[in-house]
Amino acid sequence: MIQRVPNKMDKITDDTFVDVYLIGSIRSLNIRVDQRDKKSLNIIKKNIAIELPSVQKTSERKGLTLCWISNDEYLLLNEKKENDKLFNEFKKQMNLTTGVAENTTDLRVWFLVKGGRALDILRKGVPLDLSKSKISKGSFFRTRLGEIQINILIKSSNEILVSVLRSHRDYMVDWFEVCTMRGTEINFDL
Amino acid sequence: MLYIFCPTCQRDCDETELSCGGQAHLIRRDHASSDKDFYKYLYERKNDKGIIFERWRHVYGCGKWFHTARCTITNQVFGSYSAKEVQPPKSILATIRRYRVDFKGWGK
Amino acid sequence: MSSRLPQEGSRINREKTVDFRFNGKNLKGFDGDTVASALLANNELLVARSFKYHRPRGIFSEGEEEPNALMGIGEGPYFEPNIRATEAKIKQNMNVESQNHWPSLRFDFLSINNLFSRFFAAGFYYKTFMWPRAAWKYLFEPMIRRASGLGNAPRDYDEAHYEHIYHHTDVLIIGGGLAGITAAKALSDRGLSIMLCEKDCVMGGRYLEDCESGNRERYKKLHKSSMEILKNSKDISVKLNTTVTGIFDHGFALAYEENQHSDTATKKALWKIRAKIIILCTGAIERPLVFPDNDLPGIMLAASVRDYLQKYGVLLGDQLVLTTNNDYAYKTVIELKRRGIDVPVVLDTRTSSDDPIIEEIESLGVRILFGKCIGKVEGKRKVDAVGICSVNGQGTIEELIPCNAIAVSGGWTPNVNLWSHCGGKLLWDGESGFYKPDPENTPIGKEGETNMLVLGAAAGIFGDYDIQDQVPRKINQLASRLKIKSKRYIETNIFSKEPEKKGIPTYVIPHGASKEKHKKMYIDFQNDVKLSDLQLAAQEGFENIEHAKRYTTLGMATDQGKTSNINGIHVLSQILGKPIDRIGHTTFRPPYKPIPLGLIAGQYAKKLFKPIRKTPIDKWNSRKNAMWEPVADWRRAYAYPRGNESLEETLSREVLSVRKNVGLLDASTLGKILVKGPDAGQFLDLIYTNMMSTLKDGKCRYGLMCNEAGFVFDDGVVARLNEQSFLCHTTSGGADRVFSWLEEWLQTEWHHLKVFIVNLTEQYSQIAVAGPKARELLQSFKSVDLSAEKLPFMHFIETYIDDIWVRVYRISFSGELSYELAVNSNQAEELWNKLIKVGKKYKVQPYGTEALHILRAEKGFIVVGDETDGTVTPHDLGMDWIVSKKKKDFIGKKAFSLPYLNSSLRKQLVGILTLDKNKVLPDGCHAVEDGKAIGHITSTYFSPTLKRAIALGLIENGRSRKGSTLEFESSNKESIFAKIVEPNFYDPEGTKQDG
Repeated sequence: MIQRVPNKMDKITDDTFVDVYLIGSIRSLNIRVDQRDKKSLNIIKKNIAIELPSVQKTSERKGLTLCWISNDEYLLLNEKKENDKLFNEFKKQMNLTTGVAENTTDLRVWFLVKGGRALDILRKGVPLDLSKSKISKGSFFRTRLGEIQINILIKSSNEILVSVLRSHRDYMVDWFEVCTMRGTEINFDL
Repeated sequence: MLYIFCPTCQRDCDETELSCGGQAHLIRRDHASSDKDFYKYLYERKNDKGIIFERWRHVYGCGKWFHTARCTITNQVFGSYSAKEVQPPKSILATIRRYRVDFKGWGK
Repeated sequence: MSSRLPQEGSRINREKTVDFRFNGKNLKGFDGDTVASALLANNELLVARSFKYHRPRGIFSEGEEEPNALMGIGEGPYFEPNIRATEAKIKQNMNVESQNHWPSLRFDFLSINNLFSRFFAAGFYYKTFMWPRAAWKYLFEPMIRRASGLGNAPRDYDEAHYEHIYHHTDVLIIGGGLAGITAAKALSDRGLSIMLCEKDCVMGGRYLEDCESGNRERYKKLHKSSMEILKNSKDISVKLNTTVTGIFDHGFALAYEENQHSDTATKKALWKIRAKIIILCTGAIERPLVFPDNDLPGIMLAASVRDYLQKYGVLLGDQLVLTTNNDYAYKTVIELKRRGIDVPVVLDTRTSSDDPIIEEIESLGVRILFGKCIGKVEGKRKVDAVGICSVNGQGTIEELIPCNAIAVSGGWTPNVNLWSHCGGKLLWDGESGFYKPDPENTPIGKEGETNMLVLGAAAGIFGDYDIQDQVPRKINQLASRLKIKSKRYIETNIFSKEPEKKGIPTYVIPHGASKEKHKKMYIDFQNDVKLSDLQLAAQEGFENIEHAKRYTTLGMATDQGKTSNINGIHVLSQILGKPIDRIGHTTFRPPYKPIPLGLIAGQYAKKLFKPIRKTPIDKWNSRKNAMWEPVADWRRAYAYPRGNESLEETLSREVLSVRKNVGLLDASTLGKILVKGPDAGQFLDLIYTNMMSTLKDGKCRYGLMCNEAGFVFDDGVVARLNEQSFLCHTTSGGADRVFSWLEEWLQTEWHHLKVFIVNLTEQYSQIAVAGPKARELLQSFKSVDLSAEKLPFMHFIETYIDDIWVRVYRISFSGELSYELAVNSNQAEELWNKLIKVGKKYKVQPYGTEALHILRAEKGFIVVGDETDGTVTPHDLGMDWIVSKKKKDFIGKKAFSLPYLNSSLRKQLVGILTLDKNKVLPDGCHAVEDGKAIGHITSTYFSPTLKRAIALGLIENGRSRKGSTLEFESSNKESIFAKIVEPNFYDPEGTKQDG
């Protein structure tokens, strides 16, 4: 799973009930592969040695996380410098097949949302069922937040990674600022 | 606000996650078709009161297209199925018949 | 005369005084008071003027059904109009203002409307003000505008905090009264998530106020233990101050939370709830009786009178007459007598009642008159006396009884609005005189299943014993139907079975009232609909309830006819001589209760109003004070003005710098879609009008996409990266649209093709380096060889600038020697800065989208969306060359063979030069010939290069008009003459693009 020690400088929320950090880019590949294409599937298995994740899940190994986007699309995240060589070799091999492994590192920006209220914040914009009971560690969702598309990777119930298109970075920062203001916590009354 | 099952993501989706693509099971007419068939393909759409077959795309999620059968009066959804199907699968038709005894069948 | 009792009031804290202002007057209330209770405590009986006749009105109820007391509350950025005084809590220094009066509440000039009320009858606006026409503008409209409208719109930007919250739950219980609480208890511990929304700030509904005084301790004990259970249950979440205001398809509900407790800005949240099962425990609303002069201040619903007593220690009047048709309302008399208040008389429309409560009241010395009702009310702005008459008579006053308040009860109406919002049908219950939910015709969920259950008073079940009996039974049935953990829920019914409180459905009294009296009998207070209006509607043929509603505006006010619907339906049935169930009812629609517009916007206002996409070079652009242009969701640098330059000077400078030296353009927004796979070429041949499969590795080709109807849809350069991969560039605004388009064809039509696509628009940023010195600039970086041999026109190479990877395309949208550099977005800003720095030597200047447009217009290059509008073919654009004759099939091929698309009368793209070269044609203006519009301008600029106005346009049969002069008409009817020419004004031979 993605390991990152948030840097104090990246923290974009202040005096709120949840901590949000702007991480920036995470090395990533968008993978497209036909489930019938054994050759491409073998390369995933051989080169990065990760089981394909099931629907809306991730699987991970040694700092590499493979996220399910669709039945023919995955997102591979690489958090460790040591993996770069492996990562590049996989990309090269994959593109020799009919599948695709394309560098999309620069395409998105990532945020880390931390705290007991992490899921609550997302409930202010995401139409999915994000109740704690429905969400398990390692889930990966692609949905919308307000008007923009968003990827949500659940590290645990109080640590969530979120990514949006890089062009939406400033908007997302503003969104977090507005929606995490003190006094806007989601509370039940009894 | 509809809540429709995406067969790819295996979950219900809020209508705002989807975009509707209109009537399902259109047959593409290419340059070899008659002008009349081509006109029908381009412009003629059903607007039934009752059961319709329609296309949806999970545009904010997996990005995949799928089909549903839906009643335009009650908004009951009788199931979602692959966009590759050229006609509604038997299981969907059976579900519709279970709820609508007078259902005449697809395309009728 | 209303006042505050020395003690009592379950909702108020007498230790804490709250100061507030009402119409400029300083008043005091207690913490916990609503605006309504505080006004009554200060003897403010007259609190509003009615909408149409500006009649004096007082507080009529204690809850959301309030038709009269709408207030403008707050000040400046926190001002809100049309707030029900019965729902808003007072806060320190709060400003409250009444509405619909001019100049003041007591002396309302427009109350003369009241004198002319016979002219303002139903349909008034449709019948009057027909002529003369000019009077509309100068007389009628200004007058109507002054008089109409409810409250004032806020003047300042709303500073309240609004937000949306999504919530998913298995069960949504609406209403926290006895039924709702019991339902929640019965459903807990079954593994279901339960949300309970209660509109009030406390749980309990009416049952604590309305229980028999002897039972109060028992009720309190039950309430306490219930709250413990709810609090301790992990399954149950409770939201107070939260009104469910709409039910929509597939179990979607909207709830409006108003957190009034915070001292700072009130937080308002719109809950978007998705529930599998919705349980409606919305109770009932007391309805009034309709009698002459029934709208005077001092007249109030009977239950509200006792609510004010018990919750706020506020007494409506110490000489109170009750008029009723049921036993239930007698509770009010008991509460009053208990406090030693005089009740001169109770008027009961029935002939008798055998309920024990009657005996109890008689023993208290209260005079009860059966078969009697109110025939008139004396008093101008308050009640002074009631005239008693016989229910069955014509309203002859038999006795005048002085009093200062009237409590009225016409029975209770189940609160069924939410049941009806999403398809639930209603049944007429003739015995009780109301509509109630039809258990056979319920709202349904996505799979056609019943997804709503209605319990308690909302279902027409009123007694505490009966509710406590019904709810667990229904919940157990529901559990077994849903096959959820079917542990039976058992609760001992602490209530005793009481004889049912009876009433006879009576609505309008006295029955034989004259026409003159009908004009004083109000049915809908908020919209001033009188009995006579409904008679007129029926007489004029608006017999259908839906028609009568719209003609008279009955039930169309912000209270949605909560207190008036049933009475109105009854009146119509009487007039038409049809039974009520044949009259039917109007359709209840969301919102159940008005919600502020700000709440609908939620957090998506101000800086979150619209997501603006920014490029990696945005920060630089921003620092350089770029002017912005919105392009789809992007903001792009439009121009980079310097110092005191005028916009014309800026554009001229930017264009000429490209023509003479070199310019830099942030083209990052350009769409970039990777198309990969063994069948990629075949697929692109189907998508583009021209051939793409023959493109060689390392080469670029301009392509055009059409839709099936043959109209241009997008354009851009395609680069072949290798045997299997193409990178397709799209327009900036079209990237997402084209990506979806390609996916659609791949998934739904040509799914046999082995092709994958990836949207890389934001992975790469793109910088155009254009101008005669472009090559020199780029070559000044070591290791970059861009000689004409190495990189010919329409080719690309991959290389490094310093250590930054770039893909350099030699393509030109300006006609000059030009390179476009694709770079990984994280390095785009760095590369841009390097180019600016190194470029200084070559006088490099950034240029914006407007200069880009001028440059391309000088060359006659089209822009999709300017030269095309969804009805333009490649042929119309003079681009026949781009439509393949060889390809067997592609999208649009069939359409190109249709006669209409080949007509010579179609509009064709031409160049246009005004005869006066300084006269720039207005964008979009029409070419006129023989009084007929024959085309329009699509792009028009002053060309700094040619020092004259240039334009492109689509003109009927334009190509054959070359050389002729046409007349163009601007919007101010000015005629401009211009010559039709070839659409290529600059370097038609194309010698410049090689540098």
